[in-house]
Amino acid sequence: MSKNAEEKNDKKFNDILSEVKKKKDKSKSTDKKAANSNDDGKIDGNVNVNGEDESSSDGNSGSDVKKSSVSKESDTSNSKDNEGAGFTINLSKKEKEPEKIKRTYYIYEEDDEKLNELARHSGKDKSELVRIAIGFLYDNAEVE
Amino acid sequence: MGFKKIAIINNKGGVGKSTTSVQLAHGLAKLNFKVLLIDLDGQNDSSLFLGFTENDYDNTFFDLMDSRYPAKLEDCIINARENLDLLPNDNIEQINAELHRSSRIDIIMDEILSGLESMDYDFVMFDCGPQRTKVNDAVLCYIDHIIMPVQVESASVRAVGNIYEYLDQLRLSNELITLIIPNMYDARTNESKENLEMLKNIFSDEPDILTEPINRRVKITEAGRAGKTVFEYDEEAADQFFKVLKRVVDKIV
Repeated sequence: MSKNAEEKNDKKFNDILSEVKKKKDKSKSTDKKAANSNDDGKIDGNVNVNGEDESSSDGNSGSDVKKSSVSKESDTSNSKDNEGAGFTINLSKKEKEPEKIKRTYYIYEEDDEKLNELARHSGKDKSELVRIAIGFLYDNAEVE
Repeated sequence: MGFKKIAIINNKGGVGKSTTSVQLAHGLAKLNFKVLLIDLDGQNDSSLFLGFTENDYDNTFFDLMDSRYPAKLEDCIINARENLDLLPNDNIEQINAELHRSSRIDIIMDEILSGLESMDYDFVMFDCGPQRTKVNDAVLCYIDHIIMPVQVESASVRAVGNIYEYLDQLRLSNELITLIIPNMYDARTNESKENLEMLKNIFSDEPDILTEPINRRVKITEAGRAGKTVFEYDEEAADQFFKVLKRVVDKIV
């Protein structure tokens, strides 16, 4: 009895299987799109690191601001939340950057230390790092 | 991590958690997904319903928790069906006692099951025991989705809100609750109909969460007793779970 039932039931899986296949195909095409725009979880940002950079006028800046007109890439590992995820943020200069404006915001000492450390580690100035962090949060997180 | 993590949970006992776990796990396996079912219910019903007794395995979930000589995950997993593996359990009290000693219940399951990252499962499903326990706390902190079978009977329907309180206490989002399955529905009785209506009213603002009811069928119980899933045992009993399986595919796959 159960053998017969099993065969009949197996046929009924075909309907759902076609639904699953559609979903898998859709997921694959979405993944493909994501891979095209974002190489392996890397986020491309355009950073102006030439001599006209105004970011060093930020009162918080304690990092070594590299001034160079050469386009460059750096990887900044996100320290805690993404431990194990292993994603990196990839910066490359490709086109002219929009105009920067100066703003003053408050930051905890502990976070300032982290920012300094990241700046030292990556060779980027702190304004750049804040820009990357905002871009990342905006694109990837829901802030409540 | 590529796999989806689902808990089949309800604080009430006897509502069909293990039956639901086994049928959905096997259903997904038959849809060519690789599934690991982790039996964390003290009665080991998932293992029994898949046809395994204590004599069929040496290592269990508890062996993964040995702080000095933890077993390898792959040594604790047994193959139950094509595409379906089982991680059995035989010592829920000791697991709970161990977890009471853990200071980080929110990440302990990640640590214990870290070996899964190198395996190719599509779904990891937990058959949870009833009541609020450390094991269930740890599972809830680990999973992405909750599927909750609710027996269509007044006490169970009234207690349906408990899971929301539980999640609140763990500071977890109630959006984890993905599907609620009215179970053991008996369309012949007015009481059952009224209770199903009550459930529909409770979830009237999010009807998407409620599945069609699973009708009470002797064949479902018989299949479990025979160590078979409904898909192997009976056509009409299987139909009861096909409709829920479709919803799982819609919402989770």
